[in-house]
Amino acid sequence: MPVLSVRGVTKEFPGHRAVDDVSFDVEQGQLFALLGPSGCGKTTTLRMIAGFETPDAGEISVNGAPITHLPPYERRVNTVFQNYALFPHLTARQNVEFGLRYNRDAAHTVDAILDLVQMGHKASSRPTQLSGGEKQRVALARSLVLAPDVLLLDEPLAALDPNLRKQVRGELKALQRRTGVTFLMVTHDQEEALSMADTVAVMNAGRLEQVGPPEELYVRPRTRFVAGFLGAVNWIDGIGVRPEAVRVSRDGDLGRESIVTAITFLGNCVHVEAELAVGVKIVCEIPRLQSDFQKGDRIRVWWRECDEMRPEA
Amino acid sequence: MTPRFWLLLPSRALMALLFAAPMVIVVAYSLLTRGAYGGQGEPWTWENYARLLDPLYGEIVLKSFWIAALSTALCLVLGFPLALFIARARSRKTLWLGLVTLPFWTSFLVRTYAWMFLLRDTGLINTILLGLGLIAEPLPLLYNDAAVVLGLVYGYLPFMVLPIYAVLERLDPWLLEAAEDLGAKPWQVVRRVVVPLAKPGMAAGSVLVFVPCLGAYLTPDLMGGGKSILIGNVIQNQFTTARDWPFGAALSIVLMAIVMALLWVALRKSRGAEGGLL
Repeated sequence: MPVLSVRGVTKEFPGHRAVDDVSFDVEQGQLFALLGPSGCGKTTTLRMIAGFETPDAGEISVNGAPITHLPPYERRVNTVFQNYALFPHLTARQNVEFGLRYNRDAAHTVDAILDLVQMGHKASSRPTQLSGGEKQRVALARSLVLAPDVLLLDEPLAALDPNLRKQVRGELKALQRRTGVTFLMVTHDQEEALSMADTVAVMNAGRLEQVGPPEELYVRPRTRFVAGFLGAVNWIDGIGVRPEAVRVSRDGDLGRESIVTAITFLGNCVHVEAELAVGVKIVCEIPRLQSDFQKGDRIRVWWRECDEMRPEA
Repeated sequence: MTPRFWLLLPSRALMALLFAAPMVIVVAYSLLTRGAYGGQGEPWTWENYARLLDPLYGEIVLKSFWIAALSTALCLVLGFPLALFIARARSRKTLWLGLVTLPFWTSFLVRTYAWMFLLRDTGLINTILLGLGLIAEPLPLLYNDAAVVLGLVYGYLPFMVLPIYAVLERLDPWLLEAAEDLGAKPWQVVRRVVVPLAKPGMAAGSVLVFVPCLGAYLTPDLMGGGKSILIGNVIQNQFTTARDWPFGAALSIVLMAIVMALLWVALRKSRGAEGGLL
């Protein structure tokens, strides 16, 4: 049985349907990412699971028990907010203790959980004295100490310094693995979702486009939207090919003949833009060290059939 | 001379002329002797302060503190939920704020008379209750301490609501959701998150209500009917009917000293906590 089940959930706001008939399951112990552009309804979905919004239709259940109409304080689901929402009048330790007095059996002691997130030494600091990363760790401890069935994370890396984000990705995932708590994370960053999640669900305009393991979504997108949102795509005669799957050579008789129209240097790789026929362009991503092409060169481009993407919609 | 000096000059001159100078005069008067027909003259004396040791004045001061504290507490109890409601309102915020400040559009005196019209023996409330046969005798609604407190609470409630509203308005709504998310029921959210964070506003509002209530003379005079004498009325009397300016000045100085001492203590206490008083 999935730990979290969302069935046909719909939410209307005045003037638009924010979430439209969304269904998915999250398995116990997974790191599940809800991915989509801003305004796609992913945050509203998260807020309905947390209990801050009520669906107009559909059902949400945790461990088989419906929670759709329970208030937030009666759900065994906790949230790490985008700005962490630490109580400014309480110390780090008091923030972690906040939820403990409300009739829940804590799985960890406050000290153990503070040590787990490496904040033991700052237990008596106030939120204003903490850095972004430290605030996030206190917010995680504050939720994890209650041993939630599902931990919801709303854009957990968005408020962090960009050069800290990659490091925190790994830390978050390690924390999830160590605690065994099911994480449901909302993000608009496809690299974040692909690198961290066990399962990714892509949302667009209120609808769920596709759910699956990161690699499956990247390689076998079911819709053009998913293909394009997860990475760059060349669309040729209705077939999608990712730039890094395109092979290039100067001679031979493989593939199709084309003319280089532009070269873009990107550091570790080079984008070779070529014209296959009038108006049909293709971008090929090749390692910097293998590129000695010039604008105007005649080249041949090809790709393996298994790298072709054929979305249904 | 720097531009800073010239820009500050008008306000400095104004403060010196209209605030510092009168203060010096009041202090001087409090140390002079009452003239035969009012006014004041030499010799210099501590006599006016010595008279304050009369237990009668102690009682009046105590009662004034009690009435002001009670009014402040009632304003707090009434004002906090109102401020919270306005701050959390999804729409019509401007309307609610407008209604809170609406009374300021007419004079306080006129509004006090309106209350008297409502509360007196032949007033609206008693007339209706008598007409309905619910009571046989008019209820004593006016000319007592309760009427004074009512008048003060009515008059100063906006000064409590507005500073609390200003604090709650800036409160991060995610904090309230976080508290609920962690298991707190709505009233527990208010007690453990909203009230602690609203403290600076509550402190500011309490000062803004308490200080004028302590020195109030119009409301106790009109709605207390002279039976409810407070320190403000005693001071007023010294400058009018009693014609004892030096004693009135001494009373004013002592009242001001007490208020400033209290504020200083409150300020020091709240400095220790987060945020400070204002």
